[in-house]
Amino acid sequence: MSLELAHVSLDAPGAPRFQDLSVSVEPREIFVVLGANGCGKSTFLRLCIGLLAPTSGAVRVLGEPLDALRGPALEKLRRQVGYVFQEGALLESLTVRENAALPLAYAGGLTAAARRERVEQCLALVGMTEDAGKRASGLSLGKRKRAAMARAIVARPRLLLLDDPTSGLDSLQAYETVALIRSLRRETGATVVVVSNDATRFLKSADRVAILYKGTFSSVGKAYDVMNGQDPWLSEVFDTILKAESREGEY
Amino acid sequence: MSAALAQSVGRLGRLVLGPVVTITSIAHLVAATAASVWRQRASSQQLVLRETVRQVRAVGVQTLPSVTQLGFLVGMIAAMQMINLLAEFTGTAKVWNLLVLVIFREVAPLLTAIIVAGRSGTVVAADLANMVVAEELDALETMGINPLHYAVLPRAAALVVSTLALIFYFVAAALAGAAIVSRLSLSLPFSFFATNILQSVSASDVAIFTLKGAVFGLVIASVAAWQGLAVERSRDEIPRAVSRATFQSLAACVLCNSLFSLFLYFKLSHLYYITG
Repeated sequence: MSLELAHVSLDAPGAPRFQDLSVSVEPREIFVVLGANGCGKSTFLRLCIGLLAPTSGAVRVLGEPLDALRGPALEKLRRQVGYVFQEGALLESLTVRENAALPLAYAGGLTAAARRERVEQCLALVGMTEDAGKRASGLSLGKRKRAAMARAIVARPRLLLLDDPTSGLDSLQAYETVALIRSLRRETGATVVVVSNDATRFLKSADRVAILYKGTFSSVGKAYDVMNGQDPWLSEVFDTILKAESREGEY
Repeated sequence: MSAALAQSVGRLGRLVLGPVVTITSIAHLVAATAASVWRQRASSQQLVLRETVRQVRAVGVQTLPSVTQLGFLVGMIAAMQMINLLAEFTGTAKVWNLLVLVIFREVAPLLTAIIVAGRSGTVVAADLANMVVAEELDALETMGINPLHYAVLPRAAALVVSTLALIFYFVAAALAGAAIVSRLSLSLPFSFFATNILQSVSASDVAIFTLKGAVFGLVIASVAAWQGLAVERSRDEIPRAVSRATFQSLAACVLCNSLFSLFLYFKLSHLYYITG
């Protein structure tokens, strides 16, 4: 398994509460966690990389139990995982190229020339070659997200965690981002876990979907099955859309 | 025990334990930052060295004009006062001794520390606090990079190096100011001034002010880093963290200076204050 959560609960101040989250993500799968704003999607991803520790239960990443790892062992595991924050979280004082090169400087195993080549390859893959010399602080949100993706894949991760990759983007950029995620999976062979509230866009692209609702997974399965099931959050979404459309008719 | 008494005891406990907890966590931060150097790859050490040089430019070189101006003026004022007050009683030879004592041992380290804390310590605290809020430090962690190594170490090293260098600049500027005053008021040639000053400076003076510079730099860096990292997730907290960093590092430098003076007075009085 690339990612496994077993009976995970979280009860920490300032964070959404989780009860009994259990899920397994297969290698090379695109697994999408959908949910409303504020339901804890980003918190879920933070649990998956060990930025937050669960109150109870276990998280295994690439077969390793996160709670048993400390210091260099945890750093080594994290180098096999790419993480893209919602706003990119690029280092503002560095250029796009320097940001993308950062993980390789710490990972080692490559010559300086090979590192440079790999960075250029990844920047080309996300379409950021022309902006490579620009400072991160001067980029638009869409470009920040692309640069963050280049940084996330540069060390050839086996697992990619993407936090709301389409939020704040216009529909064309969001469409391109979804296509980019599929191509990244194809190019890198990595397992991809995406959290988003963009149900319409990601239901089509996901291999499997989970709905995070009121602190637990209300549905997990193939996108088609979840859509046709009786998931309470999806029902709320569809009801709201229907009500809004009928009101629009009244006007 | 009544509720009021319990509350008072609790308040007293917090008052006593608060500083102890703060000092312990700052010491822990310093130790963890120093330890982060080990077991890093050469390419990451080069990266951190480059970042340190960039930080020295940002926090040190940009502070140079303020330190030079202040040093020059302080040197002029100190020389004017001493020449007026002392020259007729003790002769000019003692004026140089006193000038060296005041500038090297007390004024230069402390005033430089005040400038560095107010100008550069705030930059470091704000910088790290912004990195916390923008999730940059979390991003480093997710990449398997120790934030203490990449973000804190270069800033702290730059502050220590800059403080030391700026104290030397302060002394040079202060002596230049004093030399001009002695030339104008006593009509002494610069060579006479330089010879007297060099004779008045002992190795212990240089050792003391170098040690003070290193300690003050470390104190400012660690307090600024600690306050910067203590910010949680809101931009509103940044100005408060910066203000706390400035006040605490200034207070800590003054306290350290007092401890230095006490130690030297009691332990080395025969070397330091009498033959000075």
